[in-house]
Amino acid sequence: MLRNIHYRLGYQSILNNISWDIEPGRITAVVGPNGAGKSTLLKILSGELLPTEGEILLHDRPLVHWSTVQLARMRSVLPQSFELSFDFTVAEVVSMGRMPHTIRSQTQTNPRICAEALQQVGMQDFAERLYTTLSGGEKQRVQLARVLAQVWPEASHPEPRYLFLDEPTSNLDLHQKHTILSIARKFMHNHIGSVVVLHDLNLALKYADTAILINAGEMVEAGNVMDVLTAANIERIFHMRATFLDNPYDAQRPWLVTAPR
Amino acid sequence: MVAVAVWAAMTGPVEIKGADLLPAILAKTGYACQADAQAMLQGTVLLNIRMPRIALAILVGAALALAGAVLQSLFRNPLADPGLIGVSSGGAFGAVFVIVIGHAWLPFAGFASQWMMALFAMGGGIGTTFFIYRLGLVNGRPHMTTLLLAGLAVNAFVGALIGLLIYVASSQELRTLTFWSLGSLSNVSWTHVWIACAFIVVPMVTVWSFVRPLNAFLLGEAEAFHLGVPVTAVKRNLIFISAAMVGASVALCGIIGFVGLIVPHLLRLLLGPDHRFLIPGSVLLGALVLMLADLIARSVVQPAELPIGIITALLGAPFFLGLLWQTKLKDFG
Repeated sequence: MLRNIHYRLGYQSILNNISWDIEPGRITAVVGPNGAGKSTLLKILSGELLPTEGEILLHDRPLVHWSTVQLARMRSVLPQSFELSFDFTVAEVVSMGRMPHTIRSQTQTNPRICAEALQQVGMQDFAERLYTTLSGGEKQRVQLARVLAQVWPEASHPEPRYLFLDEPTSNLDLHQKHTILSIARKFMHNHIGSVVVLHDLNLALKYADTAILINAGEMVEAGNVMDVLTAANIERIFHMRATFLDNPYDAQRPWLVTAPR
Repeated sequence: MVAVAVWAAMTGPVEIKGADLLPAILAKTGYACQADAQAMLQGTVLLNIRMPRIALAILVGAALALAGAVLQSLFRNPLADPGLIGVSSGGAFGAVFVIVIGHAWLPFAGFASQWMMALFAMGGGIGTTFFIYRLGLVNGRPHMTTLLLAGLAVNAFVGALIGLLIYVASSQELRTLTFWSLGSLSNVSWTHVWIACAFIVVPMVTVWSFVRPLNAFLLGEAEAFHLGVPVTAVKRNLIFISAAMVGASVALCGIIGFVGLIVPHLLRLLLGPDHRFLIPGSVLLGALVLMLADLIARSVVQPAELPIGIITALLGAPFFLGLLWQTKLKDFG
């Protein structure tokens, strides 16, 4: 839960008065123009940056009162860009996701979860491959498996878990974009709350339940994704002409078409 | 490794055959019934000269390689070596200061000046690291790029200070400090070994508890934090653990280059980047390499000896180039 979050760098206000509840089992899309503060918001959510004002509550307790390990057991983050130049195998990269759980989980649990996470992203046949030899889409799926493994549901530890994805589809082809988000969508059934920074508004419309639209650090609108990403809002914030067409493949989610003004 | 240690014990100006090793030790320690003069001499050489020297080579080699492995992972830069955080240059400054100016001000001579040198080298090394670490803090957190650049600048500055001292040094002092800067394991006593134990073995054991955080660091700093690693504390602890180990090494045997750079590299090529293997591997291989280098240093120009830093660079550099060449062929050929 976010309460009146402000973030300032020097005299420059990056985020201004943002409040929002993240609900388990739902995907919230964070949308807005470049430089609006989307990634900053995600960094504040994950505890990487401390808000200048306001507070984030996790289980009714301020985020700063949780230890780094306790946080790591409840939320995982897929960063925007990723560079790993050391020769780890795919299985080794995924197993790092279980690092915060090594102390308390039983020894058989972690390898089983890693194998299931790889299965979930369809990379089970790549376990022994070197990470550095994979294609961009494959690397992204392995990273996704790592962050899924980190918040994998365990019957013995039923606390809610959260998944934060920062532009998980950038640099991916059409098919890979949908693969990544479908996997995330499916994973939400485990009662996991998710926040995803997205640029492609049609992807947000298709995969998110709720959305936060921010512009220049201000929250423009938040709520049901269909209510936030309206033609009027898109015209105002992105300075584009926007209209919705019927989507022949999905009756519930119309297709957004845009053109420069 | 045991074999190399035994071989090293047998080699030197006083020849000791394999069969004589045990009787010699027994004679010296008083367990043998009839000790002859020859066995007594061999025992003295073994216990008081060669064994402490071998022990120190093992400790220092392990410390340099381990510090190299840790810093390379921390900076996620395969070119990082202990020199980067200022231990070597700071240590050198401390030692040169004692050699050139120390004896004029400080009423120490002979044996005591050796101790002063070790103390100053250690203090200079860790002090410089502390200074660079403070410069590298951004908003209270160590920022690796700033740390790297601060290290470069401070190293250059300390280098200039050393240059100034060299400029005013007499030719006798110059000779002493040149030999010191090339590194040497000569004149080693058991006391040296005990000091090394305190400053090297203790930090070395603590590194083991950082194996998992170090693996996470290879993913990136933000990622390590997301995985529950207290990034700031881990960075600070590892930097000072490395500084203590390298500082002690520099203080006891001068600057020995290349071991800290090459050994972790070689092991990454052989064993992969996982620190569960890399850390113990660096300790073992570092010890082995320095023991061999010392063996060569004191046996090629008997009864004199070469500074060990010359050996490590002379043999290490071509070996490393060969290794690079092979990987190049494998990856691009």
